Amino acid sequence: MLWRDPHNIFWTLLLPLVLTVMFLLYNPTRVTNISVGISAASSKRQLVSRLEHRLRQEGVGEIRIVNRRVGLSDLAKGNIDLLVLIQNSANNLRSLSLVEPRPVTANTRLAQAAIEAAIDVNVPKIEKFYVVSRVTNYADFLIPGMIGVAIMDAGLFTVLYSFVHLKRLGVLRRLAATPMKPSSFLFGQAFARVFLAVVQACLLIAVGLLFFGLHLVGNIGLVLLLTALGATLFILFGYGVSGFIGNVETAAPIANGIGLPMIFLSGVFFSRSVMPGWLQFLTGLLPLTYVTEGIRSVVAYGAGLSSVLPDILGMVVWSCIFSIASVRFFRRDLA
Amino acid sequence: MTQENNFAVKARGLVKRYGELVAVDHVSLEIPYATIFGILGPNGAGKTSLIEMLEGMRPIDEGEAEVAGVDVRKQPADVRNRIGVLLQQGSFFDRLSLRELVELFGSFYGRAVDADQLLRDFGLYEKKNKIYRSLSGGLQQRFALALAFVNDPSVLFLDEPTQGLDPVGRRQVWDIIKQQKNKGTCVVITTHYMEEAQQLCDTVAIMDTGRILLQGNPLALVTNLKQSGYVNPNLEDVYISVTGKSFSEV
Repeated sequence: MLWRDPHNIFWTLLLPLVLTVMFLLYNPTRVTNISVGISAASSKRQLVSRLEHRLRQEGVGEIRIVNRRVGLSDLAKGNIDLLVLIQNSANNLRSLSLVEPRPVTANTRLAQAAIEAAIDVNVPKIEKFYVVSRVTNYADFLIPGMIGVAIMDAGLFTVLYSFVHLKRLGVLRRLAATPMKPSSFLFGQAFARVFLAVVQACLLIAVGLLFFGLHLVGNIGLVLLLTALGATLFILFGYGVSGFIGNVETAAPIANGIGLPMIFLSGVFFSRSVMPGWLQFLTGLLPLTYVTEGIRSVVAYGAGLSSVLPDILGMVVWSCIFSIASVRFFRRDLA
Repeated sequence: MTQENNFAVKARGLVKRYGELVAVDHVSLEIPYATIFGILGPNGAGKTSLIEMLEGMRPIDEGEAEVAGVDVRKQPADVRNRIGVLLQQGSFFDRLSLRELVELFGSFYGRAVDADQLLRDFGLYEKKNKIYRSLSGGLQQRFALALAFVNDPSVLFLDEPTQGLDPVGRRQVWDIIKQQKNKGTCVVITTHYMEEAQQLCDTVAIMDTGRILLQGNPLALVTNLKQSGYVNPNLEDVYISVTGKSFSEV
């Protein structure tokens, strides 16, 4: 009987394949999660690209070309581990200065080693920059990610399972024989799940604060707003997908086949900055990425509403796409 | 306008297709109020597709229908507001109690519902706080029937109402249906039980492969057959004479 269910087979086989490909694309042994900023005048472009090339050979994961002001700000936020300054008078890579944050992290030292290896010389001038460097720990990174996962659970997973269950039982059919509007039903289901997601977010934050040294820098109200928006997005996703599913057995593989790769690709467990550029761009468009990175910037970096507007916009666009899909498939489903 | 001048159900040339298969093939009906109308036929005859089109649950491919004075194609939600329905394969939120379900469904019709009274009428009052999934199959069926009455409808569509019931249960359902007829309700049932069609229905329509082959009062149909020479015919003989096959062959 297993072999007569092509959907099930497809999604079950797909998941390990996707994970394998994803992990190999990350290629963590070759590329590290060191990030370096380079600041130079535009006339020094050639030097900059030479340095960039050498740094990549040394395995530096992320290189940002910035101006000095932005570079210092990135350093302060912890977006880069070290900032390289190429003076206007420089005509080779030997005359660099480095700006490092205080407190110094292991990554800063690794970045310095990579730079020195890239230019073959000990860098003579290191400017120490006393920065209100945000101390972030893994809890600051992980908990927003897990809130994202919780949102996806409450939205996508519960919708898929419950709709398929209701459909199989014949509940949706009986409802279709009443004058009840489908939108009322969908709205009621959504509201309960959004509430669940918000409760889950509060629990995760509480656990983080109490036991794991989570730094809740930003506004918790904004976090919960993003949670509610994200939950709505994934609920719409669930409605859209549930139209495709014929039976209960397919629901689990599909939910996992979509959900689990997305968890890895959206930077829940580790940063997307280790990915190759093209992959970073693509994964940056995923719905879970907008949710996770939006919440992370509020929790760990205190971002305000205006800073997370791009993430909100991304969520809104995905919500619209899923709404259209749901309307097309759900109406057919109810009858 | 009195009810006698209006038909509860009017259908003309209804067609339902599933791909190549024509499940309902140009069916026309006129059913007055205070009648029990039975659609008799084997499984696969198209009974459920027909009745679900009339209930406004399934899109009508061709033809017209009017139920309780409302055009089914144009205002299906309004039709559903006025009718009561028992589905063949329908179920309820299995973790809600009977009382909660009655109140929930009542809310769909925008009118106040006396849940306790409805449950009492169907002998389910003692179970009002039990959740649906904990009920036996027979009681679940009885509850489904009760719920067809939640909006005090003027037209009832009952799809296989005594399916799976024991003889006592069957009698009880028949009594309820007769009571409704006496109140002036139009009751449309589908059935594949000959005895049910014969004993219960004022009019029976024999349906096979999407078409209504013969329609009339069961007694009259049987009497006609007798006059053409059959000895002690029953409704099944009528069916065979019209379709050319016996009921169990299908």
